[in-house]
Amino acid sequence: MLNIKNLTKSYGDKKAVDDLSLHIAPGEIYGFIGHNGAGKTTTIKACAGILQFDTGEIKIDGIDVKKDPIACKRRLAYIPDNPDLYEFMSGIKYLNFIADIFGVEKETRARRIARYGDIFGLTGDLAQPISAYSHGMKQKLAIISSWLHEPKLIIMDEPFVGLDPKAAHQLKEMMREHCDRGGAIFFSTHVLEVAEKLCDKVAIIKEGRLVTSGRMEQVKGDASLEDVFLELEDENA
Amino acid sequence: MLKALFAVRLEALKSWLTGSSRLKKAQSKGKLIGFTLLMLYAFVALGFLFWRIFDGIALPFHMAGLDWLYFAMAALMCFALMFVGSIFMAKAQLYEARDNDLLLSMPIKPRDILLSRMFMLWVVALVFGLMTAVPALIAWEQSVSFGGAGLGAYIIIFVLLLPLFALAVSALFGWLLSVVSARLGGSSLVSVLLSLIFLGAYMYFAFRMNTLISALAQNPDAAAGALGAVAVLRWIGSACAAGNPGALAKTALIMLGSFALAYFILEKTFIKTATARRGGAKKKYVAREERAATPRSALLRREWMRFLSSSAYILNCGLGAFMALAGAVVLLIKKDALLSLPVYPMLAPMLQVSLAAGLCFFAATILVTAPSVSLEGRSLWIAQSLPVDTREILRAKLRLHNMIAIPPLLVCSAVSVLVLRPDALMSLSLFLLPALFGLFAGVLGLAENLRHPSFDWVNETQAVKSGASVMLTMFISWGVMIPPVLVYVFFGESINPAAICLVFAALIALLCFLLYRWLMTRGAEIYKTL
Repeated sequence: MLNIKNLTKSYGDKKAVDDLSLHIAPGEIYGFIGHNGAGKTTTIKACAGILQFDTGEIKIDGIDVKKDPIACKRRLAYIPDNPDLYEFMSGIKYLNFIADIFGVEKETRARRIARYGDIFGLTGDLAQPISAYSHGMKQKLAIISSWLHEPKLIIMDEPFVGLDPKAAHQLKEMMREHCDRGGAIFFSTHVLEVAEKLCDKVAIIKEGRLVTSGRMEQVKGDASLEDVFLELEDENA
Repeated sequence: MLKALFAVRLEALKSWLTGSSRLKKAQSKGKLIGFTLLMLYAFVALGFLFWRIFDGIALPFHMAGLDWLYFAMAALMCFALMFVGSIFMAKAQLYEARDNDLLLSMPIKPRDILLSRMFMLWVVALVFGLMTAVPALIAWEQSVSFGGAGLGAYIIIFVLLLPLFALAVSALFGWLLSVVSARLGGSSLVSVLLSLIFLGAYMYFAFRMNTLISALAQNPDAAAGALGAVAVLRWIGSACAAGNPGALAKTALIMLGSFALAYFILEKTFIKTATARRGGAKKKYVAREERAATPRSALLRREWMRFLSSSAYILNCGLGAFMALAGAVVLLIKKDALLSLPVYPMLAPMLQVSLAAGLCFFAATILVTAPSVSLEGRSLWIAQSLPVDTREILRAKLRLHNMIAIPPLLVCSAVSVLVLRPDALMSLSLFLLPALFGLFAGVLGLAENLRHPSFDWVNETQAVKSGASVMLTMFISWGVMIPPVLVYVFFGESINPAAICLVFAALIALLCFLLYRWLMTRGAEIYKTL
């Protein structure tokens, strides 16, 4: 579903991502872990088609992001680390805007808005302007908008930040359900316990380079993901 | 602490002037120099207009023994300009700044935050005030000459006291606007209505200024009687004209007292107003059938929603549309008076050309696209991650501009043709030229904003009102008007004015085409990489 091959992106002299290769198959929840400034957000933005990269190749559902970005974007949903949405819109107007852009049918969108709105307890607040939303409410709205058009691939940058425990639990369930239907999820997180329990595969990145990747049980073995992460950080220091 | 806050405010000002911090140092420096020159040009051009007014009244007033009245009028004009220039900025800076929450969470006294913001507003008020204060000073020195003490008093009053007084009044009005707006759910409509009423009154005053000044020059005693009744104006006049220390002290007392009172009220209410939750009463969502739209319509609707949500955006970038409509109404009302003028047949050709130029001037003040990329702000990622052609996003911005700009311009053109009844060629020019100029301002504004985007604004007003692209678009548009005006001034008698207008229209059409092509190629690429 998502194929990253030899991705390199520099800001001036500094290589933010250096020769990174990853493969995320349909049905997989893929966790992306690394310290602050390791290159996670740069990689994620490049995959979402909103950041030009220097060399390498990113394919989504077999389509090259550089060659046909629009076709790629139709197949994915992206949630950034900070849900800065259109504050001049109400929640429902924002969802309708996204549904219009992705061409979601009227009945389908109404059904999905009701379903996901209820799951996150946001339905009653959809008439409010987004400017009146808390950080968590904005995050929930961003998640609903991502699920609204049922993309094949969902890319999320720190999706659990700002969510209350119930919403975080709901999101985990939704992620699993999405992958069970054949979709794929690629997300970054600092919450290693969540990654350990939720992810089928994991990749650890440091200073732009891939340190390790693979199935969760292969990467962590008998230790916890936290121990492995800290050990790898020390080894590569 | 206060020093650090002042430094932050000045840094923000510098960052705004030099644009994005991602720019290289040399580029930033070049930009700063260019921008300073542009500002200087605007300052000198407006200053010249004021100088002409003051130059016309300095000597007559002196001869009539009414020196004080000259300074009282200068103070009045100076105050009006400072007030208009800073009222909306006061509201935005004091109560809508994005970093209010951050600063309030720090161990900083709220009064220091307030003072640092008021310092910036004082700078803004001073800049506006100097546009009248300097020409008034020069005109008086040329025609009459100051006494030593008078000059000192003039500087103290016009540089320090009057800006503080204007700041106090505009901050209080800003506070009122903010409170009313918060009570009414942050509706931009209320702000727009209040602002339009206020601007209408100001424009009426400004348009009548020449008539008033001529009347005053002919009958200064009447004016002295009317203005003399306001004690503070008489004190200002007396302090500047005769260097009267008592009058200066009383002026200082009134103005510093007003500032202190305003500061006291704002300080007491600052936290409450700055943290007032916008949005009014909570509305419960009731599911209903939503209208589906094509991506093209959805993008346009998004632009409309953004435009209508911000009174600062509507007023600062759509003012020309209101002015074009107001111009059409005035022309209809004054039709008989204009046509019955004995000199009308002689002036008609010039009037028609002036109207075409005036409409182009209005068109150049409709700047809907000029801040539209900057206004994406931190939510730019949404548009960039949508599965739509970037060109469609840019086209939606242009469509909004055209929908706001072109109809009022065409209405004004139609009224002009109806009232003045020019020949067929001139009628065509009156329709074609302003409409094309409206399109031109749209494509130019978008191109300039792509070249000079600014995403680190602390409130929308800053992005709309002070963005480099907004100023550049306006000044470039006005600059483009200069060559055809010169051609008309020097060759108007030998070349048919309609021909000049049509050739100019053709050139504008060519510029529109070239800019549009740039937007759809290079511009779209720039947007992707912002």
